[in-house]
Amino acid sequence: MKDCLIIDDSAAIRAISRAIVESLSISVREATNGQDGLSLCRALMPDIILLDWHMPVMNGPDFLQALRKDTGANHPAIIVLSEQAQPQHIQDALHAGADEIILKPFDTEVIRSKFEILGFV
Amino acid sequence: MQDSSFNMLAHLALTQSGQKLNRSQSDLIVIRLASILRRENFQSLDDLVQCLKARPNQRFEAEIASHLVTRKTRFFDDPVQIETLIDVIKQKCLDSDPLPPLKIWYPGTATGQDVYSLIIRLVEDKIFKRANRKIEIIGTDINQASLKRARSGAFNHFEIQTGLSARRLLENFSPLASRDWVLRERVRKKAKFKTHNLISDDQSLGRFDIIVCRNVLTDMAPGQQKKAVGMLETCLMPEGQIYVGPDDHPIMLASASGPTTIIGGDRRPIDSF
Repeated sequence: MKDCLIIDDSAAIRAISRAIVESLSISVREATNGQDGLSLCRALMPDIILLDWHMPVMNGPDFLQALRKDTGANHPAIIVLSEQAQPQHIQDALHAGADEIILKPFDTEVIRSKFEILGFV
Repeated sequence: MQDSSFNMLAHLALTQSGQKLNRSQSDLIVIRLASILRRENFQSLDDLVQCLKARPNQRFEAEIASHLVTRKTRFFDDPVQIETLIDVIKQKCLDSDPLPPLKIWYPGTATGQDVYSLIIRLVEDKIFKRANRKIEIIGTDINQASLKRARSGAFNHFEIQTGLSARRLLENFSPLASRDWVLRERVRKKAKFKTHNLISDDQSLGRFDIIVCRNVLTDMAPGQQKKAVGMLETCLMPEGQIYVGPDDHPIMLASASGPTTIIGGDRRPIDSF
């Protein structure tokens, strides 16, 4: 079974995302910030990561940079979760190493669609 | 909603658009007609039906029927079929002698995402520029409100995230102040949208090389399905192809009457004479 790591400081977002991802028959682990997320990745690399952009302790961009140092080109698929819908922000996230972006708020269809695009459904 | 009201609305949907409604869809009917109820100040569907019975109005009935068949579509609903279409279009348009325009029709297009998905792919491969012939793409529907949205090219926050990659969003859309996004002119201008009813005898749009009719026939009553398939066959060029979704296969096989090449979602012809 594929494994998804959800990194978001919002318990509500983690809960909603977990329910949707598990409905796709993908197992889920959670982290509340980039630092904890990195630790979980080092223990066991997930297949795909849902990554909040703005978090305390270690934010999304810093997590991506640290993960790249660890994994190079072999990093897992990364979907950034963000409230910012400006094209420049989306461009920046893709440039930083994200494979896809989900703009909050999202629903089941959006998450399913992005997982399909990345080949996980 | 009383049974008599449901029966009248179901009859309207069946006769005007061919769509079969079930009693279990009562909540859906309320949702689909909510805007009309609000606009006309009806307190309930029963009130609306009473008004129709008291003062029959063909235009109003047509409007109600079109709202009852509101379809939800999404971008890149069947990526495999889209790539099949791209290959066929390339064969017909590139490295060939100049020919009359290649005509492609999407009946039941609703808000047009299927039309725009094909156009986005054609733009990506620069096929419009490279082609030796014009490519004309038209989407039709009986729902005027859906067509208005299709022509606007504007889609909401959820619609642009369903079926579209972030890269395709950035390349083909611009954000609006409302959190909606609008398709760029170079994509929008390649699409035409028109009102058309698949089961109306007196409407023909001419002949097409490619018809893409996905998930439109499945909601129709059997007799109306045959009528609709007849319309598709009438509008098909002699060497033309009809592309359908997986649930449409048995309907097409049962209803097609002449030499027709029907391509299913898995690229294999499902019936060819």
